[in-house]
Amino acid sequence: MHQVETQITRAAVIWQLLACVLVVLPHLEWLPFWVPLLLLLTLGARLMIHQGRWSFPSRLIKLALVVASSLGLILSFGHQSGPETMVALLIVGMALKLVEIYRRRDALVVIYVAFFVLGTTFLFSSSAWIALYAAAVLTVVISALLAIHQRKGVSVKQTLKRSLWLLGPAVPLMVLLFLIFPRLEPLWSVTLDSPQATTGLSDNLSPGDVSNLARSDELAFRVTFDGEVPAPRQRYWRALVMDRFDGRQWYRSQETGALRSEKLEQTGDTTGYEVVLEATRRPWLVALDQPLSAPTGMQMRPARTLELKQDLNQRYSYQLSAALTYVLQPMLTQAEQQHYVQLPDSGNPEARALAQRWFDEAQGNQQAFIQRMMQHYNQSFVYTLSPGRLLGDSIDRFLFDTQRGYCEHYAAATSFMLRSVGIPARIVTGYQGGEWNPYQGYLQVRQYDAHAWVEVWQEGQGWVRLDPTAAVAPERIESSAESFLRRSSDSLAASLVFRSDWMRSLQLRYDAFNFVWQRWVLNYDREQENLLADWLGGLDYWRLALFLMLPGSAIFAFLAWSQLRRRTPRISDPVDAALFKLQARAGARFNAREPQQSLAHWLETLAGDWPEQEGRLLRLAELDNRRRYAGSHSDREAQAIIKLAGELMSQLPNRTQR
Amino acid sequence: MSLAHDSDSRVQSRIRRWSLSRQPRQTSVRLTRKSVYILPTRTGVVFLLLLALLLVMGINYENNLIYALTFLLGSLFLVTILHTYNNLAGIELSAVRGSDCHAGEQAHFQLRLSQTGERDRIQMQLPEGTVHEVDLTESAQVVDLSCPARSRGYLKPEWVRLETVYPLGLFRAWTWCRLELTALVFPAPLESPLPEHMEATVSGSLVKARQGGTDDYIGLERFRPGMSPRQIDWKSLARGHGLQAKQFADLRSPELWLDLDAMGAENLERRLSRLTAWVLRLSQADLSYGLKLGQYTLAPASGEQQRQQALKALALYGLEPLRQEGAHASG
Repeated sequence: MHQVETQITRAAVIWQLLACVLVVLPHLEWLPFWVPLLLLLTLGARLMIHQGRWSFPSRLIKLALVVASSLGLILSFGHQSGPETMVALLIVGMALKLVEIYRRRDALVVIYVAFFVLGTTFLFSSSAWIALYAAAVLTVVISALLAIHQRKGVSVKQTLKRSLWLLGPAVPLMVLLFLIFPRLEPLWSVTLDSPQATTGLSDNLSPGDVSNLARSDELAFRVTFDGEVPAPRQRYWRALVMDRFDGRQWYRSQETGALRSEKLEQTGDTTGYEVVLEATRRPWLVALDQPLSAPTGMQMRPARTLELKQDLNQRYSYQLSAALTYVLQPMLTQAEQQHYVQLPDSGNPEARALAQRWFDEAQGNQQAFIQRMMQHYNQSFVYTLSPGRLLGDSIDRFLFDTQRGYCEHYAAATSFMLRSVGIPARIVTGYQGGEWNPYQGYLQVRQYDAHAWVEVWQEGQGWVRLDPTAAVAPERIESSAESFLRRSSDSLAASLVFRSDWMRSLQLRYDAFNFVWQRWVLNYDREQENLLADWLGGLDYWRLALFLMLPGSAIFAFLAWSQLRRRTPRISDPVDAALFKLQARAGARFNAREPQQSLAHWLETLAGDWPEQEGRLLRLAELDNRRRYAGSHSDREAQAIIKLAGELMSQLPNRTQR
Repeated sequence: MSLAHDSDSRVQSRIRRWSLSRQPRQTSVRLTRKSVYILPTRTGVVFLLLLALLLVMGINYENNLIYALTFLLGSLFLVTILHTYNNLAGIELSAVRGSDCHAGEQAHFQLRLSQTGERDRIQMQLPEGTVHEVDLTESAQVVDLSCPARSRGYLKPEWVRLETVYPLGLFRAWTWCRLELTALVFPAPLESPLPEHMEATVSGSLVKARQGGTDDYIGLERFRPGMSPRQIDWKSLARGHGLQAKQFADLRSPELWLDLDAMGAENLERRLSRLTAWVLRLSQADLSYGLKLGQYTLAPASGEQQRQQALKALALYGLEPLRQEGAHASG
């Protein structure tokens, strides 16, 4: 026993240091280099102090440290106001505080900041791995908090065990709260820069400038369908429409004044689906051809592509419905016709000449013209991701020299030739296909599924999709980019998707897990209402309260019970157990047994207070005496004691009668 | 975090009075649900503020993982209530003994803590006493608590306070127990010179008083006629040293009486304090003395028992009826 001390134990100091390091680790990738250095410095200093080699720093040194790190913060973050600045400030503060943890108060400051820094980790990453890591770190931080409140000399293992014993029952409670707690609208607007660089669609297309198409297997989006899943060749996900060509690149025209919103006549069933789009840092969204309408918060451009009003910096999910068969804009105005046949005055003369020759041969029949073009591709063209650069008139070079290219080359050449003979045409970019994940029943679309195709306008039919890539490499459209690339002899393409079957299945499972994680954890707010309504049969307050209270109190009851069990001595001998129970019960009603009283003596006194049972009590006292002192251990007597004790307990009056 | 709980705050003392009024003084107490109180500590409140901040962050960034962390910490906060309570509940506390002391010193009390189950650190305190940290590792351990002894007489601390903030310092569970704790507090000794006749006895005339006693052997002298033959030292006669007589002396000093009434008109407490100092001094010199406190008389004697009786009488004079010790005492 000792006087109260607020100085913390040496073991506790080590716990604090460990907690600090672990909470800062996930932030290392974006922190300016000097912050981890500062942390290392203060950590080292504290360890030296811990070992008694250094003494605590003087006030002057501390002041110098504070000034230097404030300057550092201003230099590194002076112009920013995002969460990075806040987190960096917290980490620097924590690092500085480390040097002087000595008393319980200092340690508490460090631990509370550590809790907060741990929370901010999720602003930068929200993968299941980070969550798992955070759970492990939380155990360490809790251990650090525990270490400053528990006695000296508790082993590391024991401390961790205690922390887990604390956290264990808290987990189901957390799940309950997580399910129930209403998700509120942000209190004020915050900006969050997603630190990831994006790969994805761009809003211009100049296939001649790219010699090797770098495609990644990064996830673009995932889709769940309400009903039937469209066939692979129907899975055209439109994102952008390029309607201007400047001789080198296709792009989106800014002046859309002449264009009306296009009219969609649905001729078949509606397909409902939900897209979870990864952050793109661009405003545009993907939609299955053709989206029926734009949900609130989005706008639809004239060529039926969907857009947000601001860039998409976080994963975003939305629900849409699509018409797979349709007639789009059966009539074009003069101005619109003009718009969609625009070409530069000169350039690519050979392509123009070829198109004119074919058009003349088809005698102005658009269908025949298109047929001719597709045949041409099918005869001698090669689909490849490394077509090489095209100098000068890129479309001429592609059509007459190299004849090698990927979807963009075909789309660009096709719409060029269509336009050159006066047929309205445009390029649509987006994604095509996707891989079906059987484990969770959704379609995963990756960046290598990006695609470009053509829409051509025909009298009476409106805008019709025309995919020249299908003429060159039909299996690319019929199956998926993934399997197509796998079978391709193109080494670059093959390397992208090279995986054995078991790896493939593992990858699918992993992605399915991530999908579940995203859907049920990261985007739980979208599911909350439906899920709770499903489970509880309604969203009344009383149902929610019951849902929270019933399991919640069960958890508390379990915890209390297990604690009570631990602190009640367990008696293995049934005779002792029966007598102990009798003592506890009868002692509570009448007089408790005094420490110096023998059991028999207590029973005799009890007989005075409880005359109705005097006979039994005295008999029990006699039996007990005999058992203890006469060394008789017959089973019959033991049974008699247990029976008597049981009878006495059942006869106990309900209320205290003193 | 401050361990200096404000046991002086008005609310606390009101709860304490109410709580104590419900329990009789007992030699042993088992802490139960009924007597253990629990409230968040200041750090617990700060922890809640931290949770509020985390929640705002979760709401603003619409980040479900931050929500989850907040809820986990919130649940932990709630669960801690049970753990903190569990660290106190079920402890059995019994009074072992109180040690006597002088007013102005710390009175020490020994208490026995018995418990089962896994527990950790608790704090214990007597009224106005310092807080002691106790690590509950054994199933039974004896704890020494102290509190200041302000005045003479029986010191019976009103309560023993047990508290704990284990495991995370977010909650404080505490209880007050009324235990049968007693320590006897003697008056604070006030040093002053002994009355003159006593001073002389104590320092100078010791030797004279010794001769002719029967108690202690002090040496041999030549046997003179008239001496008791029992005094003859036969051993030295056998060795051929002639007749020698063993000489004995009584170490009993002349009777010294400490009398409260003979001390002038000073304040009672000061007179008692002076008497206490004298008793201590005389016992140290191993002299025999008697004590008269008004009606009460303690017959002259020396030794530890005499000192105890004298001090007890001085401690209780005027506060409790004094029992006359021994049959020979006379008024």
